[in-house]
Amino acid sequence: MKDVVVALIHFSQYAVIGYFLVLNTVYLVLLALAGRTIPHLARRRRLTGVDDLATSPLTPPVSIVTAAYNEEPTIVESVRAMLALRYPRHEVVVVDDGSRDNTFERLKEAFGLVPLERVAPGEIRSREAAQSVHVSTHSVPLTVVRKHNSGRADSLNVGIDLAAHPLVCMVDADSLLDEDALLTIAQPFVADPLRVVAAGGVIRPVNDSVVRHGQVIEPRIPTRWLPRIQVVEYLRAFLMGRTGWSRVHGLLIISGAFGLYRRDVLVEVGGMDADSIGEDFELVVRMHRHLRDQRRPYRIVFAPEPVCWTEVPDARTVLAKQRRRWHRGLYETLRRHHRMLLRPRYGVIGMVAYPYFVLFELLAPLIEVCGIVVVAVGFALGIIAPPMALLFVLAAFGYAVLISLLALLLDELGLHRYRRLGDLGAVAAAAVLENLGYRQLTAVWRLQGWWASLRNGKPEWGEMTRVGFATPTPLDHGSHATIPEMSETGH
Amino acid sequence: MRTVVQMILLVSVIEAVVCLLVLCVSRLVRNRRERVRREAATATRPLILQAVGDEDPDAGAVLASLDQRSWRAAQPTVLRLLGRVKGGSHASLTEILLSRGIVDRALTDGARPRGLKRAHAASLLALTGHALRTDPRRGPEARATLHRQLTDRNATVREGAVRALGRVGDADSARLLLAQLRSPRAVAAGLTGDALIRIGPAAVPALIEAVHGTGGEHRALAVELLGLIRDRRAVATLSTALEDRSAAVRASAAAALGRVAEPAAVPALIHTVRADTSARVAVAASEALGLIGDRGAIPVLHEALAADGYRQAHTAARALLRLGPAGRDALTEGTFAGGSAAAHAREALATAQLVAGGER
Repeated sequence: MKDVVVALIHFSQYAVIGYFLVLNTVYLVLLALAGRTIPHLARRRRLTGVDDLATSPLTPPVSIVTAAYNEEPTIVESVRAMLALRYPRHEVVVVDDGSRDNTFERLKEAFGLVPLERVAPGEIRSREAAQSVHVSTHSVPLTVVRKHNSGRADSLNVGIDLAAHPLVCMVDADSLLDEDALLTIAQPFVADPLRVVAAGGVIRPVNDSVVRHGQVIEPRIPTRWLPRIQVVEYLRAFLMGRTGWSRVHGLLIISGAFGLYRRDVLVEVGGMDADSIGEDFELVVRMHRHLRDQRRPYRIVFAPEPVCWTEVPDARTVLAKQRRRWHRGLYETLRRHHRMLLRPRYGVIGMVAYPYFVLFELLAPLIEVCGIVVVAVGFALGIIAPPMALLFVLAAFGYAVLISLLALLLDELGLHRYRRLGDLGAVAAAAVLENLGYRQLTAVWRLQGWWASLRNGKPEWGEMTRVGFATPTPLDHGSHATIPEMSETGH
Repeated sequence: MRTVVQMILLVSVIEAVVCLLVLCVSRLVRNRRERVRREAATATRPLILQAVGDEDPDAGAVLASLDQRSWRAAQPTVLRLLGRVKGGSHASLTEILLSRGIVDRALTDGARPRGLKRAHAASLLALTGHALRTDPRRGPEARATLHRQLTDRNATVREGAVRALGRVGDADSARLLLAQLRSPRAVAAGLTGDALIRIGPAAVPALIEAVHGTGGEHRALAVELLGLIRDRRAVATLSTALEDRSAAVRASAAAALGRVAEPAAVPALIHTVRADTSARVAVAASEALGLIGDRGAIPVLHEALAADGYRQAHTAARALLRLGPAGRDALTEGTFAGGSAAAHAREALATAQLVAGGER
């Protein structure tokens, strides 16, 4: 019996080492792919720019659709910022998902909203229909829809249905877009109008950045360690990982906080799935499946430059809920579309991206926790020698830190968003600290989310408490208006 | 296994240290460079703004004779402004670049071996192209350089060339722009189309030829561009395109006829609304009828209010709004029809009331 245990522990040890070697090597490959794309795009943008797109009658008009729930402190400023985006023709559609605060009243007061009888196209079904539609009397292209609460996905479906333009940009109500973000994310649709059906942009944490009138004028690294580590995560996984996947036509996810889609394709696939907790991921997977089933040429791309700034959780409880939700959404989507796995008809998606997500996104927290257990048991039974265990931990740690630093280096050389040397130092330190408890904690939370799904438990969202973007001080003082911390997430 | 793990650790540590060093050095160098540039630019920014605003007639001359170091600091601001100003301001800034020989250097740089140099050259010609178009020496030289760059192996160079030809191009440039759309090194149709619109009436003959060519997408684009240029020489071609075998071409033709506001096309458009099998084409024809504003379209639009498809009914209601009091009467009559027609009519009338209230 003891021999069996010893053999099992040794095998597990090697299996876990091998797994993390492969995982980080895959990240390295994605980084290399991103390393060819990002500098090229940045150079190209400096030379060709988006000024022509901003004035061209051929630039397709966009409907920005956002679902709002209890966003009273920030909604007016967010909508103003969306309306002020540089783009030749766009509208903003806000769907008030049964807010219990004064979200609608704030909008009504700020934009002079009046009710208007609207005929809904009915091209996308939703659980809760619009109760009323309101337009602005201030000559701004704003539509506000009120409905009973039924969740973000269902609200977005109502907004997509009422959207007037051929491109729909889904944005979170509490996010801030760079002034040219819409122009930049629309570029792939101009470059390849027949094939590009969806494009995702980058999400970056906005905590403690300098914000003025809904614009991030100076990005900064958060002062607290929890959001600081998330900057590293977002750089590695969202920016570098997705750029790499896009390069090989294997992009399986676009962030719900910022994505641009062809409306006609959204209608074809039936919009967002209101039952899904990972509705953004599920939508893109479903689009891939639908278009490949129809054997239509298409592209779903990631644009590393247009930035959507969003506040990330800075409290452990909030972060835990988020990660449980994300992993649950990941599992449910992968399970739902499991027929795509290793099927040649789905090309790179089925043969490479899907298996990657199963092996290295879904299973990763399980392997990580097992690894910790194996080491602990091995220690306790005297099977694993401390020096070897320490060596392994340091190697895994070192490789992971290297990947993060390479991501940071690529961001600095290609996009250079963070100007202060202190900020770079802070992020580098966060890249190290991430491996000392943070990753292990998120692994546990992700497993909890997975377990909750297996048990068919109720998904947790939580109540949002917002206190608003701070009022900026006069421009001549050039002082810093920072966004206050959130207390909880959820919608 | 131990060796492998040790190797991983060693390589990771070394590379991490190298990363950190490169990060720090890169950021320090960049910060210093930006600080120096900012300080130098502070001195020249008032001059640039005076030149743009025409406040000081000597400002341009001063900028043209700046020393190299000061000009290097000022140039990014000048180029950024060039992309965003028009008219006299644009001419003032272009004159400065011409005086400093920068445009002439760009014409030469167009043939350099380094792709980045060629791309910068194309980008600069795009920014200054308006002034070069009428320059008897530089205009033809710029066009020749840019025509060659349309087949450059570097995609950024090709895009820059397309943008530049939009400003400095002529009828020959239009032909080459359309031809490159079919090549393996084609530049995005949207960018090419924008350049053709900027060339304007000189591009019309080439576009008319393209409408008679092959490839539904390219023909649809050519038709769309003719509508956006709004040249009456294209009317006959657009009317014929209403009968094209491709729905995309027919839809573009209907939209184009609406933009050109051609009254003679009204009967054909009315027939299209009634008889075309493609909903997309019928919608475009309804919209065009609204833009042309001929009251003869009222009966067919009134019928289309009751169409099954949302877009057809919605567009017909909006089109009726553009047809004056008679159109509104038709909408009011539609409110009694019942069903979705009444709803669309009510929505259009309510929107009109809102707009009228806003204007008051």
